[in-house]
Amino acid sequence: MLNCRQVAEQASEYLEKELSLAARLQMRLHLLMCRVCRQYVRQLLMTRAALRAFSHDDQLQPDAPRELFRRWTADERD
Amino acid sequence: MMVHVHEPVCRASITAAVSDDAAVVARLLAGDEAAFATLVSAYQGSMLRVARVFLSKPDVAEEVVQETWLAVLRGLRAFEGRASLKTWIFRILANRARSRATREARVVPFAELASADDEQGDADLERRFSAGGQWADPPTDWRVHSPEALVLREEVMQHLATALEALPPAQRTVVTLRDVDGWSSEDVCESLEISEGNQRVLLHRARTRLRAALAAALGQR
Repeated sequence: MLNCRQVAEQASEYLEKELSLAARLQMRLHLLMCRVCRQYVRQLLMTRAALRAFSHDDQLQPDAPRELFRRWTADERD
Repeated sequence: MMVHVHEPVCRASITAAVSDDAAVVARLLAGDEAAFATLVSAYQGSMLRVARVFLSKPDVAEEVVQETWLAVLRGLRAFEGRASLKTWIFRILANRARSRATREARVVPFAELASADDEQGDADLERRFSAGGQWADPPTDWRVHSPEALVLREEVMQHLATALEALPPAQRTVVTLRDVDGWSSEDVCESLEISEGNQRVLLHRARTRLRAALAAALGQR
């Protein structure tokens, strides 16, 4: 039987489905019976989902890479 | 019965995109500017973020990213496709960022960062449990019912952004690439040249800290 500390330690792997079948079943069993750990795992999941919101295109001067490319193709042709 | 696998450095990801890589390279060599623009927009954000781990100054990081694109273009003919194009690009970036950081007298070899213990972070979590492994300081209800609801709260998200910036560099890189940019663990391992085990630990620690930061922002535990 897993204890809560072990659950917290493995929670990230559990979310990534990186645990062995046996370990995953043990986690599931614990989570079924432990509301607090269920809450913890849900919060970890929410954290991961919230991080997704930071994904956006950090455009540098968008022309700079294009200019680079043009110069490179010009050089290649020499 | 647990099967213990000898911990590998990540296997090359068998991407379905291997043939796509060849197509992209061919188009670039043929001078297809649109192909290059697509590549840039796909990776630029992540490249900047990775560069920023090694280099504190944003303008220096931008320079290194530009230099990387140039190195990528110049190296295209020699690209053998043993690694994916993405991995190859990010390795060039990491190497350039590292040597630039060395020149600016701030040496942060990633391998060292990756193996550095985050004793503080681990201790923080440990402290929340009793000797028997029960919750002594349990998480409390955030009263937020979905990630979408969370994302709408600007102050809370600002807190999260600050916490992300404050992470130890290796943790910040891994959690950014995995959870912000959506990379697979294979791609992260290959590009940063760290083991699965390293990657797993760094991700765990980062997420643990960030969860705690979000909880604090919500006035919870």
